[in-house]
Amino acid sequence: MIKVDGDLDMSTADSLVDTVTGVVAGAGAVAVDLDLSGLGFLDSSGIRALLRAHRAIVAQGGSLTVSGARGLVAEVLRITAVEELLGVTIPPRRPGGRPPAAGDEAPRQ
Amino acid sequence: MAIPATDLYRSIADLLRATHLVQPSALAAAVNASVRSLGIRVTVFLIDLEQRHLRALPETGAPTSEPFPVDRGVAGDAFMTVRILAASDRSDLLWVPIVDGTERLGVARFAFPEPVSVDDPDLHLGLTALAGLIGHMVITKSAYGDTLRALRRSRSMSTEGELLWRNLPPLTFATDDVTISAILEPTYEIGGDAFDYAVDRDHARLGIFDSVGHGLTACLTAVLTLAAVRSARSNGADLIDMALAADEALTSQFDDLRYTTGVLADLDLTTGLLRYINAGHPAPVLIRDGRAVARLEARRRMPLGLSDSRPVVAEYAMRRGDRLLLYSDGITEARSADGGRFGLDRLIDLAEQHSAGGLLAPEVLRRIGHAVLDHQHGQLQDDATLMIVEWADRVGTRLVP
Repeated sequence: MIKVDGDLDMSTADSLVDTVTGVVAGAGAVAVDLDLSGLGFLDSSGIRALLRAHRAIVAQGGSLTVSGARGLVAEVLRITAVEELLGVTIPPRRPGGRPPAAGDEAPRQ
Repeated sequence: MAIPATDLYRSIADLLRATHLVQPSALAAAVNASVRSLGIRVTVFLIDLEQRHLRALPETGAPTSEPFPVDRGVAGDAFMTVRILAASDRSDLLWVPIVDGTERLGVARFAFPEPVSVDDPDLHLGLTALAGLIGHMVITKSAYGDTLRALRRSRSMSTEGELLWRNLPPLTFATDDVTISAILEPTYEIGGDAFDYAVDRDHARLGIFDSVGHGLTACLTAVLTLAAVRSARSNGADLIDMALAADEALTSQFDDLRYTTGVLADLDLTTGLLRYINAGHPAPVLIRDGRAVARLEARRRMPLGLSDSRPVVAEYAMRRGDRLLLYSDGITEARSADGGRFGLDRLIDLAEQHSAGGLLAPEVLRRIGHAVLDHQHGQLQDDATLMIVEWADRVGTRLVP
């Protein structure tokens, strides 16, 4: 498990990818879990960093999962629809977990 | 004084004939040559890209005018409301809005040799026709030189801004059934956000896009996404294939997992059925009778550029009078100095408040765009895009003078 704290955005994205790929370099088919419980901010550059780390690990036969996301970070993962690809353990959605809107109800398909 | 309508029509015909050989910097002179025999003097003011100031088109030998803020005075009112208005202090002056279709380009100041009435129907018809021709000329002549484009810029345009703006459709389009209007900020450094639409027969196809990162890199991703979607669309592709075309274009050119979040939608203008794909983008909001009644995220796929072949088209039945609000996270995530988000609630409130106050859709967007910028004290952290789509009877009529 690798714990990711602070902010994951354009300024820290490369550092995350370097760290993760550095840790697993030569380790073969490892199962890595990124613990995001200490992460306070995640943007699209951060998502892309997670995807790059994922690709690097899968390329050497391993797997990467993401856990512990909450608040804004969980919301960004949900909106971007990468939960399945990144094996995100989805916490139950809290009613107040995103900006409310009157009569908000997603239409059924 | 009554200017015979036939005299104005002669001026319009003269200007139309002259326009073939007019270069962009000679537009103002050509306009004045066409009305000189009537004793009329026209000054054309164009709105700048950030929609804050009206700037006079220079004319050789004519006095220059300083730019003035659109928020103050009769000229600004004429621009904002798209109505011909009389100057408050002079009876020989009229301010006439200049639009191309329903895209607000500026205002023309008409100085007559004698007092005129803003209520004269003949004069109204002649002036709207002449100003309509000026609007067409501003757009068509912009392709042949830099003068008109430069006039609409208050400062220098970045490379990414140049690339992006030239790839966007006009900010506003309307028909009897539908109004589509959009804004992008920051005007001169915009890079990774984009919007698109195409109205053909009974369908309005819509798109909003936000490419990962900032600056020129994000801009290249956004422009490639736009081109792939448009190419697929014009070749008859459905929503899913449009998304897959973007996946294909991005993955074939870039091997670094760059992507574009977006919403692709198709509104049936006869039935109101909205079909959409949400590719990792903030959910558009459907507003009915002043309330947010739905978010368009019934199904999602990953962003464009991350191949995702799940069949994720969802549907929503719009009713006449509904407004659809599409936005990028640069709007809602805009943060003030103390860290407060602009937020979706504030966005919806402002849109509703301005619309209820009778403002036109492009004017609602102009004000919200400035509110987002003010929230961040003029310094946007991220590109911000907002698009309103209104499906209603005779919705476009008010956007025409």
